[in-house]
Amino acid sequence: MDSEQKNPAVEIRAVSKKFGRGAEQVKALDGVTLTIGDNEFFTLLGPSGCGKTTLLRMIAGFEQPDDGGIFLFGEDIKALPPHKRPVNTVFQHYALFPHMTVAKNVAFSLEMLGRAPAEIERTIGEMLALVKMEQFAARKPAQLSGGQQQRIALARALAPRPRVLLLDEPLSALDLKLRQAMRAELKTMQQQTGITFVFVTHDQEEALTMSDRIAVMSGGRVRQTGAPRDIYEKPRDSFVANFIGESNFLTVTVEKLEQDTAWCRLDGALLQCSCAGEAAGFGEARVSIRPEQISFSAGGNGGPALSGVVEGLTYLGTDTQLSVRLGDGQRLQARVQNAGREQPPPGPGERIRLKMNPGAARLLAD
Amino acid sequence: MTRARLLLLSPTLAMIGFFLLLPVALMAVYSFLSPGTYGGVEWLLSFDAYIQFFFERDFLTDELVFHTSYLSIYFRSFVQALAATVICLLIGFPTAYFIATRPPATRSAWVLLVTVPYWVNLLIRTVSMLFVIRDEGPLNGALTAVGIVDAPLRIAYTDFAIALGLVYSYLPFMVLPIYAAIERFDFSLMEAACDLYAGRWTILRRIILPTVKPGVVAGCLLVFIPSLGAYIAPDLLGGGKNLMIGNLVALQFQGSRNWPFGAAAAVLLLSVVLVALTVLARRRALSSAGN
Ligand SMILES: Nc1ncnc2c1ncn2[C@@H]1O[C@H](COP(=O)(O)OP(=O)(O)O)[C@@H](O)[C@H]1O
Ligand SMILES: [Mg+2]
Repeated sequence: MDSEQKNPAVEIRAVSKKFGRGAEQVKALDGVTLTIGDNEFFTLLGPSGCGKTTLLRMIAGFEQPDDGGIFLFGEDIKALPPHKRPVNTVFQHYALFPHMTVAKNVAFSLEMLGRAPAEIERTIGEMLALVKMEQFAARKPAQLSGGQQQRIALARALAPRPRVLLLDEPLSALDLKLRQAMRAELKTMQQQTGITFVFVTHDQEEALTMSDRIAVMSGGRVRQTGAPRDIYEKPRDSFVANFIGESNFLTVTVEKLEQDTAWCRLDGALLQCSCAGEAAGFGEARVSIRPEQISFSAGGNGGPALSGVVEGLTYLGTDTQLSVRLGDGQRLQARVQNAGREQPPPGPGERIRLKMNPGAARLLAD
Repeated sequence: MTRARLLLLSPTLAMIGFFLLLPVALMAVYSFLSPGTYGGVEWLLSFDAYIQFFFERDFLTDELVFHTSYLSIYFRSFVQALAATVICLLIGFPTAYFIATRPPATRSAWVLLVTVPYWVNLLIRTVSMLFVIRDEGPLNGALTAVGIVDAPLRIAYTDFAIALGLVYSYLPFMVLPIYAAIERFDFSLMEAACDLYAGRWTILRRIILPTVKPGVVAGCLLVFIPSLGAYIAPDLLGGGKNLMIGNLVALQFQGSRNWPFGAAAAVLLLSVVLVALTVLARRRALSSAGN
């Protein structure tokens, strides 16, 4: 037990994978290193084609890395075929066995593992109850809706109680309402079962709402790993800042560096930015700041505070977004909530004073 | 049915009506008539054809005695057709699997290759086959030259030769439906099964075979049914000694000129096939509704 607690559920060490030959060669994974803790809800987030599925299939055993190692609870599993790995997958298109009933689908792995019939019966009941599909046990997959099939795929993969469950964009085929409901349910299920979930998605909202930790990927590399809050508030580079949420990118001059704070000059004003320490250097650099971290007030002149001219207004329902041009010509977006505001928002052409929350701007590594 | 659909269907309906239903009905009627002296029929109601099929008249006592000479031809045909079907399945399934798992771009080329034998007339193909397997043919020539056998192997004019001919004639009918089924097979199901701890054989038995079963059943029917009534292969390769149903029927219309009997033999074959197919369809309907 002790040794298991020390070992992470999944460890990916410097894994690379190429597909194809010659001119058509694609580097699907390029030196990926990740550590996924036991009982974690871990998400691989990235745009289509960034290598998420390839990485997931490698953990399942359907792809072999060209380089690097894969460890499951400390054990090197590179040589194990898929059917010998205590890992199960929820496939993107479910891959339910069409000629078997729901109950038979769920029972399949248990039969393969040679479980006793009574135990199989009991587990089918438990799993179908877990996904709230008890009354559909006798149906064939073709007689179910997409959302129901998804639940059965989940029940089937959970039935053998895998140590790690891999989910490849399981919600992408569902409509918005269902997707949102399933998010909460998946999260609850993960907490109830205590199984490590490795969840693949290209949907940043999905990743932010469900995960304990997220690895943001692009071009076969991991750009940043961290808790949703860290990823959102302290993006490492412009890719991460851009891919997750909206952001302003501004060119600044770094003047002073402290532990994890950088003082940067932007259009004459001094800005307190957060930084990762390792990445920072003096001179010209880029920072990212979220629109909702910028507040403003009327007036403002060329003094030490940042100011700009309103170029446009967009009403977004709960918020209003302002497009502002700074004195040095850079543009940024600021957003304010409409609720509880006394004065009307400034009109186009008006000069306003801008205030960025201290530390909200993030010094980027690129 | 709307008028437009009726219009679209009418060529097919006319074809089926004139060239399938009408001849079959005519044959059924003929089987209940008396034979004409020089072929053809006399319009006199008679059950003799059917009686003759199952019974013969003891020429001393003039009693009807049950006999199996014709039934045994049916039985032989059945066994021959079954053998041909099994061999076709054993060759056809791996072939179809091979083709279906090629890259999409090359698949149609492989399918085309399967149909190559059909570019040559069946009669010519069968005769050429006879030339290959006969005692003085190149096959026996090669076998004796290499020294595998001392005397030529007797292949031509045997049941084995008939089976060979049937397999050769109908193999594409096995390959194509199975290919279509395997091509539609979702290979992620194999991965799913593997993920759920199934080994290779279990995957074949529990996942691949059940999902491609309709294709296999179609292939088997498409080989079995024409084999059962085959004429050319048993006539040429069997040397006309080992009669199959097709030869029996043909004989009645050519040699012995007993049209009603030939018609009755054909009607009996048709009935057997229809009954078997109905039972099969029933069972499938039941098994697919049984959940
Ligand atoms: N079997 C394969 N053969 C060739 N290229 C592949 C194969 N699988 C994936 N790729 C390529 O590898 C890259 C990563 O793919 P994938 O892991 O599926 O990305 P994602 O799941 O993030 O969309 C893509 O460029 C894709 O085209
Ligand atoms: Mg993918």
